[in-house]
Amino acid sequence: MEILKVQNLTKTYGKGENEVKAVDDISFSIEKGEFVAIVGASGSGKSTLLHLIGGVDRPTAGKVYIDGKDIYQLNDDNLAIFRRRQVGLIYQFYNLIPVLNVAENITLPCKLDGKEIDENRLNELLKSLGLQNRKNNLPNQLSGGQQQRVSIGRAIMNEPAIMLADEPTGNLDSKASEEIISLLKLYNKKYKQTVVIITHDDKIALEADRIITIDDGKIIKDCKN
Amino acid sequence: MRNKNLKNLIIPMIIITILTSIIITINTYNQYNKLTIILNEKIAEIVGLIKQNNSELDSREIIEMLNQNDKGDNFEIGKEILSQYGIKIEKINSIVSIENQMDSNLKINVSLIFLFSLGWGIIVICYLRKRDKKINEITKYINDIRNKKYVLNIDENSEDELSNLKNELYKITIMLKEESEISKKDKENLKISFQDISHQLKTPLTSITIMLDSLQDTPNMDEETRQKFIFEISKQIEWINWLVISILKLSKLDANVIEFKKEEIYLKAFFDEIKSNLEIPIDIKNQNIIIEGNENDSFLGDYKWQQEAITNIVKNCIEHNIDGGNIKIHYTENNLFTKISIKDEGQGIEKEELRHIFERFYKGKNSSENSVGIGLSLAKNIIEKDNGLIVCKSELGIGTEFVIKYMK
Repeated sequence: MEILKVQNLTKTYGKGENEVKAVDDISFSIEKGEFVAIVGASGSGKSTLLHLIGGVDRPTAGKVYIDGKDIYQLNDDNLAIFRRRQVGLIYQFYNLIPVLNVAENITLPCKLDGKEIDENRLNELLKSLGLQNRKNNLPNQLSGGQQQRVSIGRAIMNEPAIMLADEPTGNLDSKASEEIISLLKLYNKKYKQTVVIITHDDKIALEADRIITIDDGKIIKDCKN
Repeated sequence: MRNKNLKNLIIPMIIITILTSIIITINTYNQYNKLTIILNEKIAEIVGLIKQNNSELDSREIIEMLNQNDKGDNFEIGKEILSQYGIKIEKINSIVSIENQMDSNLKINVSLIFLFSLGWGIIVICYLRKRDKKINEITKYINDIRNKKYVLNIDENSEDELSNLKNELYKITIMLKEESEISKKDKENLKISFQDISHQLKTPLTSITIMLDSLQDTPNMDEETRQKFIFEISKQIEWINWLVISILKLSKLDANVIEFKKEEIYLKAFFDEIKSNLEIPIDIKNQNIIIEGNENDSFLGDYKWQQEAITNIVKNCIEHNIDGGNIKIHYTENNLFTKISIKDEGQGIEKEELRHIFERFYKGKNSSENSVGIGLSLAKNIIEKDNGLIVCKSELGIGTEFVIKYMK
């Protein structure tokens, strides 16, 4: 089942002589449960593409369909709500809320939705993240790898349609990187969670089922691993 | 406030209440004013009448009386006179203008209260109707789902009171749509499986038939050849047996009817057992199994099933390894997972083939005649059932490595 469809997506910055096409007429689609890696050199447009897919940034042209819904038809408020419920975002620099502890960071999107927190699910999640003894710690008391695991927990707690990760291992050593990738693969297999990961590291890309290569804002290769 | 629609209800209500209170207050004040004026006019008339008929009476005495609170005998005399004319102090019908004014006051006040209630009623009804409409929309949506019409156009991106409900419904719709697609795919796969299975079984059965025919048609076959044929037939039957058992296992795993126990599996003992079980094939090919890892490392899973899975993988490595080569097994445990790496020094697997090795009935180019392509597929299935992940890496000419991670 198609969970993401990108159609003629374009994002331009600047005008006239200074015009830069960060994303240039990109089209592709992703089925539910796929684990896709988007690779490319620095400045190739990967991060821009990810933000366009996640509804964080509006495109200059083109459409993005998530679960069959044209997300850029929504107004800003509704788009924010959609993003909160259907998109899990993981960044290279974790972006945790420094004054909230591990459990609070993970359950933040759920609470913003006014949902009741299922304690059992939270505890199971913490266990699979290896953080059950760190439930009440603040982010500054955790290592980089642990913080990134909290990010993953936060991204997956609301059971989003699609999980997007922008260089999730960029700031981690090889051991922590391995942990993060294993976790993403586990959730991909176990919960059929669709995962799209951006990376410039070929080793990480090889862990995915499908690799899309981007250069200069265009797709130059798209093949199964 | 969380709920936008509740705002739409409460704010108009507050506005109407405040407005009405203001109107009623102003109105009451006016009415009071009017009554006071009427009374004052009458008092003035009476004072004038007294003064005209009694010029010696000091006006000041009359004015003082107006401002005094105790009534004195004057009151009693006056009251007596009034009651003789049927005018009672408590009743409002004594002064005509007052009676009319009170009537009109009553009418105005009752109308105001009525309008106020009407306003409230309209607001509440509008709110309830809007809400009903939303509930009906959801009911229709659920009805559509029931009729297998998986439309995804419910607006679940708002923050009204029903938004969480809609959001969950939306997710259920996706789930159902997906399950129906998976179910179609499963039926297709089942059909293909049946074809594969019958094909797999046909081959040994055909062999057996041919050999039996031969035995029957050649009554004076020499003993040696006869024994050879009988041996072949029994081997084929063993093969069919094994095939049937394996396929049964795969189906049971597919159907999720097997219960996997949760036991603490200590890897040292686990691998020691595997090594001793595979002594014979190892000896035959003159290979070496080297096992490295911490004694206390373990993972949670079903001992028997995981041993079968890992054994299949090691067997696969033995089969593809060079004679006299080593098989290196290394395991380690951390906060998130327990990792097992099994490496051989064989010819390696081509990249093209690598993506198919876990498929059912897939036979690699370099596999032996006796392999049917189930071993690795079975192993992967079993490993994943206990929260495990398995990947295979390989380099031509150097070797193949299987990495298995059992997540916590």
